[in-house]
Amino acid sequence: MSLTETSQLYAVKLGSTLFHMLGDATLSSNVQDLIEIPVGSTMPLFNSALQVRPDVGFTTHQLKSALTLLGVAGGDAGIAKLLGRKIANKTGPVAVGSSAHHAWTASASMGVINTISAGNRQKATCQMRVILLKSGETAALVYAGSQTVDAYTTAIENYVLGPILVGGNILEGTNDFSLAFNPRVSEPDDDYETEPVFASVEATQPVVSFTTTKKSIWSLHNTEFLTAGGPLKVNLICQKNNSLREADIATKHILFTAGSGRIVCESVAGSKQLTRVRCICNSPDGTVAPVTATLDTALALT
Amino acid sequence: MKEQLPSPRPEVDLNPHSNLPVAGVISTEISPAVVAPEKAAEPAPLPFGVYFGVPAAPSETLKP
Repeated sequence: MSLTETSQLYAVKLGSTLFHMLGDATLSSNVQDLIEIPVGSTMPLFNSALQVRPDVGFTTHQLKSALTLLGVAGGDAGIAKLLGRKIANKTGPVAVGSSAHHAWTASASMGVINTISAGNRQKATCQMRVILLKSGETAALVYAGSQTVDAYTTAIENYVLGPILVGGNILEGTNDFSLAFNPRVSEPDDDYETEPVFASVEATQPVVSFTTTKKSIWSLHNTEFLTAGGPLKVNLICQKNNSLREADIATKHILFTAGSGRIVCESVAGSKQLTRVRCICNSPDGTVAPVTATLDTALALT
Repeated sequence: MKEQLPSPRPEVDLNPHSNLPVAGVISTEISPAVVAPEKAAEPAPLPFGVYFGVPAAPSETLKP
């Protein structure tokens, strides 16, 4: 017995964007089965696949790439590929340029960022979902065992949680930040295909959550934050290769801004009496996103 | 073998539809004005809610 198809997770490629800083990537074929047991019978006589709805869920640290491709409300992810790098017996991973690798591919897809999370001195991650779509006559999911894989780039993205501001003031002792976009994804069943041909994000309801040691935030409990009084701002600091982190004024960081919403102090817990804060965000004017992402920007300290 | 010499060129261009100069010399150099300059590929538009460098204007504008 020999093992000839061993491979390791390599990357997820969406269009021309290669996500290689992955926590994990799971492809699910999501096959719904039809199994027929005649009434009165003790065994099935028929089974068939009713539908196939493949998708890929993965976590990545490449926040800038994810936001540049999909924005805050999902979008066209182009040709989607889950890439596996072949591992050869005794010699290890096969050269990237070789066509010995594996790929699961869709010729069309819709991608959406579900959640972004970050902590102090902890790499920010973003959890994404890609819905694989049938395009023309090309199936939504095609496996190929003879593929090359793209070489990694040297432009690595790493961010950690930075200052969080409300009303123009930095909140002290913040940590454990998460931004959930809560996308409402439309996957209609209006056609006869076994595989989906359509998917889109109909709406989002972003919610920001973080902890803080600042007890006086309770004076803002159930109050609003607005652009006029100082929006909610969350900075993600860019780490610097072969160094510590990029300077505050370097245009390398990421800033999330919420122009309108309500602060809720959910709970106080733990030996340090940390307050868990939830911010429910609205669009400030009906056209600007409830939470915007500004990339390659200096740290916002006011 | 007798040396072969080019035949004398006609004084009048025998092909009235020819675009060649009368002297019959074709330059292989391409005039810069003839070749359209390559346009730099325009960056893809940013998706909804994402900005580069400066946040969305309404976030930074004080409302009356």
